[in-house]
Amino acid sequence: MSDHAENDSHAENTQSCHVHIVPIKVLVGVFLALVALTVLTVEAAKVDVGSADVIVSMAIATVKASLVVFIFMHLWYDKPLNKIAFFFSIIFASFFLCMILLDSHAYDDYVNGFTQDKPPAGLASEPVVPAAPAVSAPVAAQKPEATPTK
Amino acid sequence: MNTAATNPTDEHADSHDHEHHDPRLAHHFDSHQQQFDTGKLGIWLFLVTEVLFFSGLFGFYAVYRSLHPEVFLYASQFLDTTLGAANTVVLLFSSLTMAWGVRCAQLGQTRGLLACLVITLACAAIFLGVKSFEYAEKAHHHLLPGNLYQSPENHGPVADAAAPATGTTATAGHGEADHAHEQLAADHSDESLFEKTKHTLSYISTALWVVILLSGIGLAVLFKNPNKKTLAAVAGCVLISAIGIQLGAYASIGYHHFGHAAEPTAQEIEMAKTAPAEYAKQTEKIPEPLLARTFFSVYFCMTGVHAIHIIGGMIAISWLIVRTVHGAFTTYYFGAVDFIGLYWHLVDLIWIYLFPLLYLIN
Repeated sequence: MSDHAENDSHAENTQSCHVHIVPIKVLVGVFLALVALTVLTVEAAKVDVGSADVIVSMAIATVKASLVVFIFMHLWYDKPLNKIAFFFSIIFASFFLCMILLDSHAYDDYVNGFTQDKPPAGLASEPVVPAAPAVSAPVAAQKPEATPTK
Repeated sequence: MNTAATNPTDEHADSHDHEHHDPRLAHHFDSHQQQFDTGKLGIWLFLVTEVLFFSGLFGFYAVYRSLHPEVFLYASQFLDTTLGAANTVVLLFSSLTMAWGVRCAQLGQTRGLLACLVITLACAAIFLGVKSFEYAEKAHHHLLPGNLYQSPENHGPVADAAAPATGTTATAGHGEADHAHEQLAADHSDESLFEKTKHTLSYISTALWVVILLSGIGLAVLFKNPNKKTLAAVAGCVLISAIGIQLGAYASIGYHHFGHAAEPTAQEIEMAKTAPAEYAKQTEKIPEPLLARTFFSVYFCMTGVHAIHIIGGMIAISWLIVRTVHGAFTTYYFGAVDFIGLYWHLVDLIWIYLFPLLYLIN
């Protein structure tokens, strides 16, 4: 913060550039926090919490990512326009992920029913083509007696 | 980046004939503040496109994992968490030095800036060295994308796994003992695998020694010559990169060597204890899920594109080092350092997400 004084002397000059300068203590502190969170996420992965596993590791990764974005990338002190640009990219990326996940699971029932009617014979023994029809083959192979849900 | 600002507009100087023309200020900007803000918005827009570009790959991952979690469970056991975590810390440290370098540039501390950039470059090279070890190991294990993939169940000396495990795991339960057997079997095949990997890396490291020698000689010859600053800086960057890659590769070979010699049993007993029972049963029942190869398509796609970004960042940082040696950056002109720093942090950010998604699947 006190570093501002160096630039303030030529405020009216064109040869000046006002920016926020992050103190070294903050930088090193953020780095240590990031390392600690890395250790935490490695240790947390060893504990079996079932399907919450992904959520826990993604939550820790998001905390780490926000530390990097806000402090290392100065976004906390940046202009509103830059903040808006970046946050909209994150929002649209998450929209995109949600939409393709929704879409790829919308046809689960149809695919299950289809593969139980006609299990792809060649795939169970020797996978040759990792293509679209093979996608639901393991599901059918594990529980061939299950009935398709409506 | 910021080429409009970085190329001094000498060719325009005659026609425009500014009275006191500042070579660091492009002629279409009023002030350095305006030039910096414009460049910063530009680099943020570039980062937005990067985020959206990588979100396609993350979408590939998300859809495939949600449809076939067992494939990820199975395949992630072939990734070494320790190497991944070490690489994460190396990248985080390079992020720290980059942020510190930006601070130095803002304060006009040229020596500090140079030191920070050199450390950042070295860390990036170490990351690539560790990555090359991982890639070489996977190639020898035939864990490759698409048709290059061979099932790890169908090759290698896995079958001769029997005897030596019984003594150490006698106290463990039946299922756990079986699991430890499997672990030992994997270790046995690892030995020949490790030898092959070392063999491959020995070629790479020979080439790197040549590069280190040549660039070292070049740097030593050019160092004192004030007219050859650019060449000397380039030679220095090449030297640092080659040393870093060498260091990363040797460090991972050393880790593999000592890590496996020192604590084979304790680690495996712990593995057998911590692994959930149903997972052990599952691996017995379905040893290898169908389409396990697709995990490696995801793995090589995502880490490969990330590694390309690392290489791009290294080139950009080298360019910064050359310009720093020429004394291009001042307290009011440091935009290029800041912008490349932002790009470098984004690359780090993507690895922060890739590491748990690929290496930490329980």
